[in-house]
Amino acid sequence: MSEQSRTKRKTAIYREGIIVAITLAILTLVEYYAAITPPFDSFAILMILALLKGILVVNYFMHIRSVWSEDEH
Amino acid sequence: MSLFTLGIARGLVGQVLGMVIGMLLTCAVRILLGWEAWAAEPAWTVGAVCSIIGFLLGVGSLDDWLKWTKGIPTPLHHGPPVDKPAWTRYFSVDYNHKVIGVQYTVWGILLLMVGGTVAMIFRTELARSGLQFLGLDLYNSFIGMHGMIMIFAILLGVGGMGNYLVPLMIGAEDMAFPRLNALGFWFNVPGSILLLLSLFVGGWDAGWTAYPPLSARGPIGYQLFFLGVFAIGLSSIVGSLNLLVTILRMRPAGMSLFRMPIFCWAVFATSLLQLTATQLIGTSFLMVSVQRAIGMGFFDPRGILGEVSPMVGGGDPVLFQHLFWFYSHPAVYIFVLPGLGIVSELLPVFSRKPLFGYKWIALSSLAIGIVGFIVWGHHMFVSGYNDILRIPFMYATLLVAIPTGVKFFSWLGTIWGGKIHFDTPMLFVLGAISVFLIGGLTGPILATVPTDFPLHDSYFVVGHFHATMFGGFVFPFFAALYYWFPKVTGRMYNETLGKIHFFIMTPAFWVQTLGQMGVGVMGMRRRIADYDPTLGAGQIENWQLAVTIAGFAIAFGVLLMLWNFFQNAEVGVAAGDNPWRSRSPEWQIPSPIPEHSFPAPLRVVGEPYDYGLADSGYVTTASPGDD
Amino acid sequence: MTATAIEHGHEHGHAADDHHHTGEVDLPTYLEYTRRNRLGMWLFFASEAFLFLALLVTRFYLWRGPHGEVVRPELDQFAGLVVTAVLLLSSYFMNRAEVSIANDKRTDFLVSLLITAGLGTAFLIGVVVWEWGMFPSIVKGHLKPTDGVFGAVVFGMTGMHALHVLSGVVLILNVWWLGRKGHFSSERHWGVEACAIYWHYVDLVWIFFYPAIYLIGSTIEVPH
Ligand code: HEM
Ligand SMILES: [Cu+2]
Repeated sequence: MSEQSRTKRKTAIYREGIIVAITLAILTLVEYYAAITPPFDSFAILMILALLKGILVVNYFMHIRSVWSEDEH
Repeated sequence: MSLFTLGIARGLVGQVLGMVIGMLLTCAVRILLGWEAWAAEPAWTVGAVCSIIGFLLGVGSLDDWLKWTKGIPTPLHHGPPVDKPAWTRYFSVDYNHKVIGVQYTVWGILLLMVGGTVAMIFRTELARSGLQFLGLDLYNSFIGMHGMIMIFAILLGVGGMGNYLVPLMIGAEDMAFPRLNALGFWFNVPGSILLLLSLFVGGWDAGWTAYPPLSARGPIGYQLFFLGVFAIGLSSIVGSLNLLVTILRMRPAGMSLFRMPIFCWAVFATSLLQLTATQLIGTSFLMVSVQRAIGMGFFDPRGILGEVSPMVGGGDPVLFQHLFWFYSHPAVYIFVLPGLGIVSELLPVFSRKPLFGYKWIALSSLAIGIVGFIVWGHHMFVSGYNDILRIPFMYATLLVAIPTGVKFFSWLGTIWGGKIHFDTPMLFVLGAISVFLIGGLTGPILATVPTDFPLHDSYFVVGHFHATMFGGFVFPFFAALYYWFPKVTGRMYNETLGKIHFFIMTPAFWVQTLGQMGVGVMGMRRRIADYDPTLGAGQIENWQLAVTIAGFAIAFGVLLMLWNFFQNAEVGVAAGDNPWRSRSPEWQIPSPIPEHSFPAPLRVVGEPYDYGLADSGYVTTASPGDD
Repeated sequence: MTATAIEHGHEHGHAADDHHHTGEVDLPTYLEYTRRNRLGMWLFFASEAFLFLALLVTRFYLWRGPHGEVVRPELDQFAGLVVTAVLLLSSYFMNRAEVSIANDKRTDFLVSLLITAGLGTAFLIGVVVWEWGMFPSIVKGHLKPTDGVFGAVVFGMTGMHALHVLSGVVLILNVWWLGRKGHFSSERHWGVEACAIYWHYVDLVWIFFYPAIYLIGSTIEVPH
């Protein structure tokens, strides 16, 4: 890997963190407003939103794939 | 050499100190808050928490982690301690899985004896109607104590077999996390001590299931009981986690999951249950504990709206039963799956035939484990939960019969037409099958709603679960003890004594379990110290007496076994490396097993159970350069 | 307790070459140790998930109105939203810390860790002082633990979660301290990863607890 592409990759990883965090923040706000806006305050909608947030965290922050992937990490 | 070179002695001192410090701490906080300094329940509870930590610090099982927090390297020490006699490693923190396996097993047998003694006491009381020497509360504390101690003993026995055998069977150097492994064992010691101690602070008199509201109002002993269970639960969780990682990541090349010795499958399924379900008994007991301690009313039905709508905001004791049985039903499979694994493991060796339907047995363990998660409601048919729930729970329960049946038929298929050798381990395996059959057949009777109504909370249930637990754990465990005794010690036990043990214990157990069911059908209730002598057309006392005598006979048989082992561990006839002509990896290396079990990584060259096939091997332990 | 008990100390164990021969046994590589540790850590998460699920089940089982409908007590919505945001932000900085050490950016790594610990502490204060009203002279809380099942479940869920946050903060500070002493490198930093995924896990739990406690169901008045 050249020095240049390595820097590019690094910035990409940092950027990924920021994007995920912003998405999570938006979803949290959506959750909050859904809860005070009938008919969107249902159990199902709120749980699906929570599930979405959970998937983002498990996938991007916790790298669940590293548990079974056999790459060098 | 002073006593305190033994880790366990330091641990006990640590436990006492922890208890005292915890109590003083409670008093200090209460004084600061301006309350009366001494209150028994909080003091004992906090003291008990600190006493567990005190024990672990004292015994030294946290040393390495404390060093890691400071960044100090801790290379793993192999072999017996350098400056002390070799036997001391069994009484101290040691990271070798073979030592830890023996520690688990021996501690388990000790608890088995304590629990058995308690049972003999109340069985003597029950031999005649009327109250002879036990009070009502003490009787109830004793039956609960017997139950919980036996559960601890079984979990320890399961842990012992898993720890000792799994790394050997898959040719691993040790467990994946040796330090965690030691910690897992040492949790059990302060845990069992707390459980016994609880008898001296009032006991706990609502049986091992500790249903609120009784447990929320009973004596202080409950708090110590809960904490003892937490300690054992933590041991279960870290132990099963360790076994799962070991099985998943430490097999040699060529040993696919379906080429492991079958016992590893049983341990795998058990560990999955232990890892997850154990949290539920912890949570449910924790909730009762905080309800007692600070009045958080999870199970207290008094509502908040008073007259208007008394139920709103009120807790519900039935919720406790849901949470509790969500662990405690899978728990029964935690107890029996390893035992059934032992049965499957030994049958081919003593029948000199391949195991019939390996894949089916392996998958049936998993299936039993998974179905086991959706049947907890069969303990609650009369709890007053929604009637509709009874139906799915009844059918789900009956579903368990399928994978269990698969096991039975594959066992029959394995024995069929084999050249059977009736050595003591094989006798116990056959005994296990006969007893488990009795237990298994009484299960569906209890799982069917209309028949459960009259039988619930009667001695019939007691008979049912003794048969399943003896068939699924005790008999196979004894078979395993006889079978691997020559591997662990390098010596042979006395075969005649072993056979006498078997021929006393098996009929005695049949009498005991059928007798328990019999008095249950006559109308004998569980957890009641006395009974009406006119029950069963006046015959009930004879039956009770028979059960008591059978119980003593079983106890005698167990003592005979222990004496047999004790006699021969050091001076018995040398057993040789592979007296049973087994193909399993642990029998291809010397007995007793050297510190580093295998001289070189295992190479898998065939199938595990091809007994009777000429020129077929399973593994070789030589390094590739040697041949 | 058990979280930190996973063997994460191999950074400083056998810091030699990959295939390290002791004469008796082949020690696995650092990578293999990390894989075992990682699997162990995830199994621990699976186990803990059952504890948190039990609490969620308890909440939905017990919080019922007069007609069996799902209800929740009146809580401070603003407090809930703020602590949730704080925890979310802390997860971002934890991620940043992990990425930084993987790229050998020491200062960034250490600073991000400290920010995470700070936000974690802020979350704790938010729950204990603001929502619980532990110090009534500062903020008066809405509920007491003894307020029927509403008090019991709110304090049970937030309490169990706060205990995990507390242990996470301690773990982060420990990793920060070791990091300052130069214990981790871009190649060997399982300790950081363990701490990071534990922290994210604690965040994950809150992602489900927050709507369960604050958002789902109609509010019900809890008289004292
Ligand atoms: C695998 C071996 C088994 C073990 C170790 C086992 C163990 C137990 C235990 C310990 C209890 C009593 C719990 C208590 O203290 O209240 C029990 C009750 C019960 N068992 Fe089993 N059992 C096994 C197999 C089965 C099977 C195969 C079935 C049904 C197909 C079954 C159905 C029941 C039912 C319905 C009860 C509740 C009875 C009542 O309280 O009314 N069991 N079992
Ligand atoms: Cu059951």
